[in-house]
Amino acid sequence: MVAVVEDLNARLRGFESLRERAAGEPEWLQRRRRPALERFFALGIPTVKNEEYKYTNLSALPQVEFFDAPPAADTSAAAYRGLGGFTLRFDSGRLAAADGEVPQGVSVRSIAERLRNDPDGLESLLGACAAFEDHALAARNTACFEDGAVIEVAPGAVVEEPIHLVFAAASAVSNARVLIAAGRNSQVRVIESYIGAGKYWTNAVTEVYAGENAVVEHYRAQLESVEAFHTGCFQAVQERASKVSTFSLSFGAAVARNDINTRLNGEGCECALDGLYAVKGGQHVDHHTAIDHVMPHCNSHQLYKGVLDGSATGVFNGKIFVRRNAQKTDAIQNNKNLLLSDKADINTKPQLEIDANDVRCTHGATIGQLDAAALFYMQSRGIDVERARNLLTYAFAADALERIRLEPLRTHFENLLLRTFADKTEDRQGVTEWRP
Amino acid sequence: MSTAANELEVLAGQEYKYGFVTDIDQDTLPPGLNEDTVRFISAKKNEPAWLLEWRLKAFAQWRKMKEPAWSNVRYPAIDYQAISYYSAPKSENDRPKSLDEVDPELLATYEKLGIPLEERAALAGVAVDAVFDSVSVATTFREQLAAAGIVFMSISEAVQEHPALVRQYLGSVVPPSDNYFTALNSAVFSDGSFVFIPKGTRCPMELSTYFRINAMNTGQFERTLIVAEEGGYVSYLEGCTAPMRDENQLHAAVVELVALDDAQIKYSTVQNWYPGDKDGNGGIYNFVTKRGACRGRNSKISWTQVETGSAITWKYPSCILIGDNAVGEFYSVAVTNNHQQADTGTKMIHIGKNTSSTIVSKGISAGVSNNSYRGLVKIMPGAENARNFSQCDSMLMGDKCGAHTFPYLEVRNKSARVEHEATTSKIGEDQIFYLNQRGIETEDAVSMIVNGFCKEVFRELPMEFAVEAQKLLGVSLEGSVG
Repeated sequence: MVAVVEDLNARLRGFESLRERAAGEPEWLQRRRRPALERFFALGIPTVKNEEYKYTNLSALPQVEFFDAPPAADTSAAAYRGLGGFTLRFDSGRLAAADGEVPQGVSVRSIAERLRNDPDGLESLLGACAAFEDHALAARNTACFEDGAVIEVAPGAVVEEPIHLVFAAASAVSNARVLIAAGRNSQVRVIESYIGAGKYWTNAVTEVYAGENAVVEHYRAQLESVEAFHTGCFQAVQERASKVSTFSLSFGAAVARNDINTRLNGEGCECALDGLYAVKGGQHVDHHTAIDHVMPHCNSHQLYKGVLDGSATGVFNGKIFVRRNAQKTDAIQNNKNLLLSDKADINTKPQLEIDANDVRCTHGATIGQLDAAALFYMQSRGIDVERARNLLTYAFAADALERIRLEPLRTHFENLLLRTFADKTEDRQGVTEWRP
Repeated sequence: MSTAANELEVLAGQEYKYGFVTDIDQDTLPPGLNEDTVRFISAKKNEPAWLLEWRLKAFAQWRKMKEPAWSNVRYPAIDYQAISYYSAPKSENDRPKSLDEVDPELLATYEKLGIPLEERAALAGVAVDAVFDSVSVATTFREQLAAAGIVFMSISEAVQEHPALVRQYLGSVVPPSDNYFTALNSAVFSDGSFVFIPKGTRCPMELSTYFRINAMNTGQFERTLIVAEEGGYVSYLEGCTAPMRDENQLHAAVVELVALDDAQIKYSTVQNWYPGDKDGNGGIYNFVTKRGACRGRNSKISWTQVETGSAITWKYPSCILIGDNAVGEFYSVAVTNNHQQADTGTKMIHIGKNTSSTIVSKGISAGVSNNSYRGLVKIMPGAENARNFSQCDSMLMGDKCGAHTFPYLEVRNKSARVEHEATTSKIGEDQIFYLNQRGIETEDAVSMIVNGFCKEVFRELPMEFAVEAQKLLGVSLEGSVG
């Protein structure tokens, strides 16, 4: 009992310190943080009774706060050979190191530094897009984040060099925060990598604003330790004729939950949400996507592929909303899953909610296993069963990786994928190291 | 095809055709629901003690339950105390020995409904267990069926004549505590049909029941139980029409199917309860629980439904595939127009090895209606080589209606193959253009396309129903295409 009270006190002190720290922040941010914290306390960590979390059990999360700090992460895991560009590393969500040159036409800064030195212009962006009314974890991040990255692309700037944000876990709970604001006619490429070792929880929120005609290419590599919890929320708002693509790679974490939401706010928008999850052992990975077609003449495309081995469980829930006004919408959604083991589980729910009549919306979901005939064929040509199995698994998943336009990143992930399933031990350490 | 289009046009102008009220002195219970109501119903039907106990237990459970709110339908709160739970035609105390003794006005009602009773029944080859409000008043062809050893009678009769069978199977597929409406139904069910197909028997005719709500403010709580023993086969038809009413009427039925080894049950429904007027006033609330258990090896249960009526449809005919090689099928056309709301779909639970299921669902929404498909495909760990194919297509007519799909796929076995496909579209302008260009008028073209859209489901229906279904489709979509 005493221990419980002490725990509670420690927890409350944690939130108290938030308030002290927030005192130095601009008033508008304080006004945003307070309701977020209240909302988080009101909602609490979602339970499986919540329909949105029916298959994902986060009940262990509150305990994570009391974990010891995890060992230092191996940052080489997120060193993609030949990537170039500009890299920022965050330890527990706080800026730790920078590498490379900031490309022309874009400003990449720490949120804390930006708030301290010139907070102007952030009010309409930071925390304005990531709705937390119904999203306890986003509310928590909004209330608690200390730092993060703010990427602002000048109108008309075409930034070829990728901007790489590495989030390494250094404490029990990390709040990662990213804000990407792409001005009119601009183009930008951003990669987020999540790494760590041991037990911890990363709670990330990424906000994206794509101005008129802007092109935002976003990649998210979740390579957390297999003991970690990862909850991520990606929210994008798109203006007229903008394009946003986000690729979610989910190989790590004991329990991973990704919420990926976009709102197509202008006519002629395009969005592509893609992903690949490959998990084994007792891992659990959950993707929830929601595309809100508010305006007419927008296209959306989704392809999520999953490979599940061991007693891993996968969840996919894809929602497409087509509002009354959103005529001529073209929305395609696909979720394909490969089960490699008898104990693996998959729950998928592609959901369409359509209120406009002149639209084309399709969704498909498949769950299957490796083709026995193909396996046999390969064996008959002298390829042993393990190898044949890996090749077929790779072929299944590589389809999703095709969506990655950054060559070095794709090569890296292809290697990871090959090794993940070639390696029969449950231990996934070492998988993330790169070999040419 | 042009006939169908003409019909569409003619029917478009029609008021609800079956909106008449037969005036028969009824033995009706005043509105209200308490333990005494349950006791009254049970006593009225001269039920054995175990059934009364069963009802009371269900009622106690119902009182503890909350009305579900998860479905994608909206309606004003139902006052369960304002509903009368029992209404029987007067002839109850003195059951008619033959059709001549049946109230002529009642028979006239059937005439108007087009029920093939009397000679027409013989010609149509259909045995009818007609439910007039709550008590079955006439059953035909019983002798012929009895000769084959088939039991086809109202469930209240079955309770008297075959208590052991009823007791064995009643509530075994849909337990009273399954959900709010099944608990209510279990407590107050008035009547329904009971079919028992003994071992190795193929039912020589298609069995059919017409339901009809007739008394003001009387909810109808049918209970249907169909059991097919080893190697049995039966095709059961259910269709319903209801008189025009201004108040919403509650209809909470329960249907249970049990198929043992090698047995097959085919259950077809054409539902056109009164859907309410153009402004969404009135109409039936159709909250139905239908479930079939494929208990035996190689058993098969097939649900086919054409849902065009009711203000609100809340219905998920399901299959529990327990036996190895069991097959479950679900074919559905759901049409909503004006202010209708439909939340319908199916559940396929795969438990046995080599089980397979097929889901074909076609939703058509027009006017300001909302049409949802909600389904679950669940492959349990022991279901080796389970196979599922689902296809859910929606068609939207008009820019104020909505189409929603909520398919859940839960797979616990790697050997499973599960496929789900869904599309939403409107009638393609290129399709209409193509037909126009071949000299087919737009109206005909639309009719042709809609019929083609639903063809996969209609061809699963028995002949008589397929014809009725196509007509109903025309009526339901009145004025929604131009």
